[in-house]
Amino acid sequence: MTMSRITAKLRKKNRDQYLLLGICIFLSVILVTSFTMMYFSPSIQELLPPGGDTRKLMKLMMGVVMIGCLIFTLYGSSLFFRKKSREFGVMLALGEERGALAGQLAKELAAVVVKYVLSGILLAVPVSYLIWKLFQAIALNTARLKYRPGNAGIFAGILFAAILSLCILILGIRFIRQADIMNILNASRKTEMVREIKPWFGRLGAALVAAGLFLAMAVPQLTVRLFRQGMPAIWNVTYLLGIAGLYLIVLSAVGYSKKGKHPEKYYKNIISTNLMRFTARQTTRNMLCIALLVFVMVGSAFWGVMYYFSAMDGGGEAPYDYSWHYPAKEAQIGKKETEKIAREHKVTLTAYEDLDSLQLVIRYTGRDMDEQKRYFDAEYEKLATFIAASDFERISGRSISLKAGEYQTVTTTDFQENVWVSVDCLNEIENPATGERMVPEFRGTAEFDNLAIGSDPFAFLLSDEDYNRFAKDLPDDWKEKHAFFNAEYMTDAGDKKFYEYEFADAVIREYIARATELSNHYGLYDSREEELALAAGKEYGYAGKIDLSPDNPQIMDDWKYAPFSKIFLQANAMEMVAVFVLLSIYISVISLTAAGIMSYIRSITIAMDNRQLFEDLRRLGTDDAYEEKVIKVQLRKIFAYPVAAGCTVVGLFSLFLTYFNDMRLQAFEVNMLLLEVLLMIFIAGVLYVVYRIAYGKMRRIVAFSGRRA
Amino acid sequence: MLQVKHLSKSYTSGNQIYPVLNDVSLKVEKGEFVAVMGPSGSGKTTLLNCISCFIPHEQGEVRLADQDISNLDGKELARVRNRQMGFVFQDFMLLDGLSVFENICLPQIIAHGPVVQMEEKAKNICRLFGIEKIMEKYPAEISGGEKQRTAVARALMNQPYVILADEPTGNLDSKSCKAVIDAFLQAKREMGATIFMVTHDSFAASFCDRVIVLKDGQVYGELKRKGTRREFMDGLLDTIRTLGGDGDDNE
Repeated sequence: MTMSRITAKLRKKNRDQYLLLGICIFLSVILVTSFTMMYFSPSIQELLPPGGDTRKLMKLMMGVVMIGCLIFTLYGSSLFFRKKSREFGVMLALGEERGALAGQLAKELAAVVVKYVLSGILLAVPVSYLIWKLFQAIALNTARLKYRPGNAGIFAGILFAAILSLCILILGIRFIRQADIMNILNASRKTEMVREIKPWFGRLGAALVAAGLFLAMAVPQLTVRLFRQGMPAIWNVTYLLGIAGLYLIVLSAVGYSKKGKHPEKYYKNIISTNLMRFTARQTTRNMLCIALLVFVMVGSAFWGVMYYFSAMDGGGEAPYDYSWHYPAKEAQIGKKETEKIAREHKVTLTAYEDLDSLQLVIRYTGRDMDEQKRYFDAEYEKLATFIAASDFERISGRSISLKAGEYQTVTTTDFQENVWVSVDCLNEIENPATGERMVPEFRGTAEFDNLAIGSDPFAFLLSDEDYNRFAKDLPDDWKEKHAFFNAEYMTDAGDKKFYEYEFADAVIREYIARATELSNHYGLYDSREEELALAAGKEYGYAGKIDLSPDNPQIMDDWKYAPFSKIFLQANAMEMVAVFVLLSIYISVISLTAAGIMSYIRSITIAMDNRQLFEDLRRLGTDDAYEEKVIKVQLRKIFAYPVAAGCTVVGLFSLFLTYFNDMRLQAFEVNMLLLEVLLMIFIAGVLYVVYRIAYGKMRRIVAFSGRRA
Repeated sequence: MLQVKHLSKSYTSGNQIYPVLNDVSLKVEKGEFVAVMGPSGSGKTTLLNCISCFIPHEQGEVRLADQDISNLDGKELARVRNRQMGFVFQDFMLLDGLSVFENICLPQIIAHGPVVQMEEKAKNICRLFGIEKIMEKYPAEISGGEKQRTAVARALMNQPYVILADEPTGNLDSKSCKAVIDAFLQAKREMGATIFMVTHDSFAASFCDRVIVLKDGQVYGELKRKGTRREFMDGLLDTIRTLGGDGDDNE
């Protein structure tokens, strides 16, 4: 008999612990690596705009994923070391050297880590492929999102696995250093007690959560609107108030109990409360972590779904199903050609209108922010679209009453003013050819989404008199043509959506095919701004050409003259936001896994720590039913409190974010918030399954100790 | 064999210092079976933990076989614990994943002893303590008394200078308690073992050659066994009663 045989036997006996640690390592490596493989896939990297907010948000989410996985794995390893401590205590007491034990532990850890890290990385490839394919099957048309794994994703996964292994090693070293015979001998008697938990902790916690969210989310918006002053980045620390509040709420729920008005309830739950109270600090930290994971999982799933529905709803209020605008000198597709394509695709044009517009120089007041986050007004100069009032009346069916020298601003439906520009921003209009100027008077707004989306900051309406005067001496270089139409599949038989989508695809392809160098510009390109920049000796950022091909995935986002089509937009909504939805939901799944594992491990830890208490209870004459009730109450707290706390906070967070974004709640946003409640119910359902598994395991642990007694 | 000289130990909590042992001196001769008794808070377990070097002490010396073991480094201390001390704990501290036989072999395995002799010796000890029938069983399958006899057998495996026992009968019923005490007596008689036992149990202590009584961290007195065991136990009970407590503590 040798030490290696003894350790092998102990390993066999404790294989559950090795397996649990292995599963934690395996899950986190496979989740992170499959995520990084998707994120760094050339397909997704090409779709994400370079240096944009989406990319930053994705990186932030990836950070959250990694931290979540790291937390649950380290939590699993701490349980492993906890189990090991008794073995170590006995060995130390019998005279084994600490160094020898450290070496043995290092070998065992290395074996577990290497085995499960390698499995995780290798299996991440098929897993990411399968998730991708599944997503393609669910998404409508994601042919552009072809699965192309990149080395960067695997490297990122390996880097994460290395960091994870290092953290486990550090925990192992700390465990060896801190292994103390006395602590191990007294382990069964050792309890930790939090300082007195005051009755007002819970109320203070709720107030802090509300205050933290208000300060972090509402105050920056309010200061911008009221004082034109943004809050510095350091202001984000006010979120910590919310976390402190959450801690106090959970602490109060865990450790505070009093007889109050229902003494029978107090006595009924006295054992469960006692179990919690003696490990209140540890339990609270753990539950706080789970609550934050619930926050991340609901939040990311919510934003993923919201992105999708926002994209689906994009342009939904536009009066015409199709519209486009293009330089007047370009020979674009006209009514006849459009009707011909419609016929070919068995759809009928139910409305068709066109008009000309002028591209006039405007000087308008906009707002910018300096490095101190102070907002200041400035006058900008660029080109904007001007429409004659009578043309607008024709295409909109609404009456417009404008006199000479007056203008109306065209906005999207339910337009809410933002801090950057006002609807009455125009200071001056100038004919770019003749230099003729006019200082117009604001006469309100007119909603028309098809026009509003084509001109920045707005499109404007002029009286026919002013319009004709400007148009008279303006060459075609400064004119654009617009077309608006509806198309419908009128036959009862067949798939209406299919034919309408086929038409949309065909007509847009034709439109793109006819586009020339005249219209080959980036979305934010403005020839006046370019002229001014070059005159000032500066480089113009939006100069350059784009790939005018219907298969260019960015064409609808990047092209200044991109056509608008409701059905195309809705059908491709998933494709446009697929990356975001996919990654958000993936993060949600990872958080859910982490929360499930942490809750499970916490339940098992409590059962193991309180074996003696359950034995004592049996000696005091409790039956199985009482014991089961104690376990259930205990588990309900472990599972329900963090879920309730996390859901409440994320609910408030979403409400604040959607409201303070534009200081109002739209019907769409209210529906989204209700959808979030459904998501919470779903997540609670998944955790309920974990609860049932934990309950079964906990009963077995406690029942085992009962037999031993 | 074991000598404690002017041992002092205190605990600090916040700004308060609580002296637990104050200038304790005692001596245990080779082959002697000595118990330490005292009321709750008298410092019995702390004394044992200081002797075992599980916790450090502030002043004094602990000498084992004429060697001061108070200031040994980790490696030397591990060697002393393995070769010169044997431990018996109230909670048995057996490894659940190892059989009774393997648990008994552990000290020799740690010392890298020759396998054949080790196994032979372990079998002999099992026979001696009447646990040879449960050698292949696991701790979860045997009674509390059998567990503690296994722990005594394990403590004797390396023929230590002294066996240090902390409330070895604390978790046992009277029958098992007697079986464990018999194991100690057998070890003393047939293997010449020296035993130093902390206990609150006057029955268990009445089998010892000598009982050292602690009170408030100091040696209050010493009772040597004279006459019958029954008379000795009565004497112990009288002393404990005078001190005001049954000595049940875990300090």
